[in-house]
Amino acid sequence: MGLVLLVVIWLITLIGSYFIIAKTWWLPVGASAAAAAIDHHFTVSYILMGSVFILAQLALGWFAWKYRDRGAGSQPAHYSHGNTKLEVLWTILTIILFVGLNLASEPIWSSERLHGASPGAVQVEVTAMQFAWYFRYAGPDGKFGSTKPELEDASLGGAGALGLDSNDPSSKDDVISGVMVVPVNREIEVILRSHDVIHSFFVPAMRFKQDTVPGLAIHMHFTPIQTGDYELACAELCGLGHYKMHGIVKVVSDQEFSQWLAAREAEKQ
Amino acid sequence: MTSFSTTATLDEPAVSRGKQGGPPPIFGGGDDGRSGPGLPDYPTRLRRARLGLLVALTPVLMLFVSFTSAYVVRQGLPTLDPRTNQLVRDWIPVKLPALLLVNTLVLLVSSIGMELARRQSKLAAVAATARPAGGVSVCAKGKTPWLAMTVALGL
Amino acid sequence: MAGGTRGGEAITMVSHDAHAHAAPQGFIRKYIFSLDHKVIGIQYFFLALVAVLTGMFLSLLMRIHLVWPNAHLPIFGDIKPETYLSLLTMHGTIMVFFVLTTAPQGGFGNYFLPIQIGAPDMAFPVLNMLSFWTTFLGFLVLVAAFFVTGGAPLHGWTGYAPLSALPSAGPGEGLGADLWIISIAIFCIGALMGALNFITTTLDMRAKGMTLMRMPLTCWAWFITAILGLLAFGVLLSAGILLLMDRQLGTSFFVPLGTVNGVLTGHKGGSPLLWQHLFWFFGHPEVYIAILPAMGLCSQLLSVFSRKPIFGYKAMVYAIMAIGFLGFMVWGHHMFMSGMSPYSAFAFSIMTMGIGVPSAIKTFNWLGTLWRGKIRFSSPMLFAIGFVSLFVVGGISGPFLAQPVLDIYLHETYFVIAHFHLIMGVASIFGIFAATYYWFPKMFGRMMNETWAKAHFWLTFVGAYAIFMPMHYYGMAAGLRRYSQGTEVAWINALAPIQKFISIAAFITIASQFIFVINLFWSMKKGEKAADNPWEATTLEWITATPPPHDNFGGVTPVVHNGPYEYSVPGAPRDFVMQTDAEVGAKKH
Repeated sequence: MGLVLLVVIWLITLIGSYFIIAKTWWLPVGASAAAAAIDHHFTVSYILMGSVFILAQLALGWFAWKYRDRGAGSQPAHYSHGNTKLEVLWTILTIILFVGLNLASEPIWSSERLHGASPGAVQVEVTAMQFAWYFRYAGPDGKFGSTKPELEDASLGGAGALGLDSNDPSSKDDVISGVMVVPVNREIEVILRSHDVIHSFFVPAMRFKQDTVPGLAIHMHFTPIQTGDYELACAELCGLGHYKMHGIVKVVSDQEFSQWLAAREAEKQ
Repeated sequence: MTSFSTTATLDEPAVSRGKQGGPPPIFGGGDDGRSGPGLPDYPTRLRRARLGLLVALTPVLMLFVSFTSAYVVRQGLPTLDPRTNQLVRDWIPVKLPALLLVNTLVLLVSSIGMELARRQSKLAAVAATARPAGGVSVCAKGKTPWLAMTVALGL
Repeated sequence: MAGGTRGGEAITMVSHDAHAHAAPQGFIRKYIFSLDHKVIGIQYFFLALVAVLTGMFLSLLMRIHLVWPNAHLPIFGDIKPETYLSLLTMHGTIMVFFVLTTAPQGGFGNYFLPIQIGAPDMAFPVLNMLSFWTTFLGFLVLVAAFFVTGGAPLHGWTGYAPLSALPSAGPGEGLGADLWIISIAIFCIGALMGALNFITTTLDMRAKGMTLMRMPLTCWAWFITAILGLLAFGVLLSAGILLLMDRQLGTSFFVPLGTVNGVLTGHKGGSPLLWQHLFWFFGHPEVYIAILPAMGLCSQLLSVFSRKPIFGYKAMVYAIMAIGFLGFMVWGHHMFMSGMSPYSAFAFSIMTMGIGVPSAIKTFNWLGTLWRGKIRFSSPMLFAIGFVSLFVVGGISGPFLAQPVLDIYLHETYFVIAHFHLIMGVASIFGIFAATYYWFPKMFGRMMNETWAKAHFWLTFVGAYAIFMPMHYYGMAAGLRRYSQGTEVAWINALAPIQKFISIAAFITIASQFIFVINLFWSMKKGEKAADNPWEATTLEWITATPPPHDNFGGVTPVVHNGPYEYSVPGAPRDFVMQTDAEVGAKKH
């Protein structure tokens, strides 16, 4: 029985680890400035935690086989209540490993979340509602027009869905889109809002996720560094349509972005 | 429930208060919810009930801590007004009727009264047993009708 | 295996004649509204069994829907996306509250805590009975949510407001959600009564010589679990009451100004984050409420079946305490992406990494217990070793999720599902299985069939890995949880083969649980008669008759002379020294 345990535990451990090491299913290619650092931290964590995992499982299987009961006449179990030195050593090593790993990630967290977006960032307001995403750009005046909950009507789409107040002069040039178009290599400041329940704005390729909370306007930022279409999806349970609440982030060149914005501006006139 | 009954039968010996930290009891003896020879002795039951009550006060405390903190947090919390994009505090203070204050006062006074009445009757009981032995007047004061007052407030 | 040890040479007993109980007469007093902690323990156990079979059935429907979203099932018909969400809500709620909280603590704790500390019953038997029937009522109310208009709620077991606070936010959020909240509130009251009883009993009713540091680790785990419950359930109760007020009385604790489908909700100014703080202040300790008893039990079993004292008894006790203490300071790690201050996120993350340390110490000590032992592979031991393996794999993913930087990506993916199912679900369930195989002889007087038990172990152990290991990969590729189907989002759709594999593994594992259920009922009637101490263990439940008499020790009260894990003591006549045997003069701890 000990041998079977050894074989099964070792096999499970090795097969399980193989798919991680081989990266059979892995993070999508990173397309934002923060992705490289985050991916690196993933690798570091996997190497450290993975070693602990493999060592512990191998030891478990090994002990189960090695110290099995070998029948009546065999050596009795070793009578010991433990070893304080070993315990202290183990505790200190674990503290260093865990806390050290965490501290190592502090600079990334700091640049992602503790610092705000730089003044020149492109502002995009992201509004979530059951079960759609809307993206709003302030237009030439650089100001978002006011919205009113009383005016919200999802069936109208666009400005109607956001409840944009057409009496507000700064709302005249606001551009509202169902696709998030952003320029490459520019910092994007997203302003996350929700009308009804909590949603979450998740773009795996950007390594970006943040809940959109009704009653809050959460300011976050990321910097795309590769052009292309990246899928985004809702990552917080928001109701029956949660599974189909997704969209596209289109990263284009700075020039294309200006053209697109201008074209949408022109459409409105 | 009998385990919580604090109707002290006074002919029981005095309670071993302050004897915590002593050796663990030799026997536990579950209160089976009925009288009879199966019951552990009175001091054991009283000590257990007191411990139980003390433990029971913890979740009550937690309940009120979380109610109060939710109330305070909610009161001070600004939220976004989508009309103006401004953070606003929209707490509407509840106008408490004056009666509530009166009620609280009555409750407070009557609970103090009840405790005093309890002490008074206990003192009287002790005095009753002590008098033949010592002859000294143990109980000089204690004429205030706490019990009657509590009953009155209870109405 | 050697038989009973009652009447063995060195057992000391103190006469206890004046406090013998009269056993209750009549069926109802004896089996239904019983005050006997043993009967109540068995009642809790069967409630948990019914609950776990219900929860498992719900997961079966979910697994079918995830792979064949358009399948038309017999009797149930189609599973719609909202039905799927109801299933997952009820699965989570039933499993967390009525299985993982109920079976290890209410079931085995109730039965064995008094016996292991040498007490004739719980401190407050009436309260004990009330706590079971309250819990039972809570279960009925929860299940009733399936049958009301709109069906069961779809807000997940965490019930995040405003989704859980607004009846208009989705089907099931009407009466179903009200019943869900009421059920949880009722459960809280039952759990609080139970916790009160456990604490008083442990503090006040230990037998002579049973000092705190001579208590079996199971008792320590139940005791600390009770303290966690006492502090946590009050908070959940208040959160539930506030949520109900938001729903029914028009207050706005958790709901800000907003619209659902363009209709104003009538609330303003509430904070959705407030609910999350209150919920997780309860929710994280709840994780430890589920796992601590299993940790205590497996420590015990590793020692019993390795025939070796537990490695570092004191360190184990302190680790349990540290986990309990730190468990109240880490709730924010569920909220890294919630909009909470990023500074507090970092503080919570450091605390969370800190709580990994005592867990790591325990793992080390479990391995240390096996080291140079003499391992007997009986079915309880297999499950205990399985528990350690699953605890390691479930624990090792913790430090990933505890780091906000990695949680940005992993939050709300299947990586989380894999993590908490392994550590809080499967590992705890392995603890429950181990407890059942270990204590069944004492509870029902018969042994369980060992062959079937081993078959059950291998299928469940490999099955659990086959189900939950691939979920890590699914999560690493950003597969999102709570998606009723993965067909809409391109990158999730690409992961469909993993889901299919998981579902097939789940079907096999679920089917193999019937080996356990059949073995359980068959052995109750037909199992081999059990000796008083079939496992040659040292703790007090093994000195008494099988099954134990009404007052546990038949009119006597044991006097304890030894620690709980004196195995293979050099010079002792047998390889185990009962706690009631004459004192072992050998080494100090």
